Amino acid sequence: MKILIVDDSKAMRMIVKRTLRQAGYGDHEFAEAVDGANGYEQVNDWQPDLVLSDWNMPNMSGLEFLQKLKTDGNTVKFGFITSEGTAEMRQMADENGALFLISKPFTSDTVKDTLEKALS
Amino acid sequence: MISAEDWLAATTKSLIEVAETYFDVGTMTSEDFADDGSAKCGAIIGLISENNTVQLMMLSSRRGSESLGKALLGFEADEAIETGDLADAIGEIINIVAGMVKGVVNDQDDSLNLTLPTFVEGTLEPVGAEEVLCKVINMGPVQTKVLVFNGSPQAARKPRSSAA
Repeated sequence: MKILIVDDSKAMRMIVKRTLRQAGYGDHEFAEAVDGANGYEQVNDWQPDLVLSDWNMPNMSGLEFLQKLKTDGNTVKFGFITSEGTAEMRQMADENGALFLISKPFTSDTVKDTLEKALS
Repeated sequence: MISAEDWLAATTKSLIEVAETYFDVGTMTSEDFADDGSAKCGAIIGLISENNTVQLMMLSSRRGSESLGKALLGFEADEAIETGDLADAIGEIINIVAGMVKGVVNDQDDSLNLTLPTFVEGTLEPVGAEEVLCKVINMGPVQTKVLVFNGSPQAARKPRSSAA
């Protein structure tokens, strides 16, 4: 499976990758993008199976990124990993077609459980 | 208005939870960074709404911050960390903490917005009518100050306490 990690923080991209490995996804392919605009380019170029995106990012937010993909008719599996996890954000994520929203800090168990449910 | 005490309690609890979740304390040097003489550095972030204006800060020594950054990024204790990576790591810690704090105080104010985190070196002196509270915690071996600069209209009527 090809997993695209989109976050403007290099530290958080590293943490997400490390957590994915701890959750049993270490043998999958990873790519990174630094914001929603860069993520959009990489979705079209690299065609990942799953996108894990931050919400608040410069240039193009995670929500705008997801909405642009949906407007294009792109059905790539998409989930948020973000600092804020308010009920309003969860509702917006759900309404726009995200499979899940994981709020930080997250553990490998949280990621594993969430991905298993979302990808099954 | 959310009190400075509530901000401090939520920030401290969140920072400890982040440390427990993400830091591989076993890889951190056991050197005591409490007062190593190096410059202070950390990160600050704001939460702002119509009724509340607060800045949350974590502050350690430069070497202590480097140890935290390396633990977060999975570096070895003797690996060097560039300032850009350090700023990114420490900024991300306070960003996560602020998101958690926002959730904690949501029942008191559900209209808070987060600012972007800023990496700082040195100390901050409050200006104007901010109320400042500070608590010292240990993140692994790194002594860290949690600071709250509460600039709400309510705080403007209270006397200032000493900062970092």
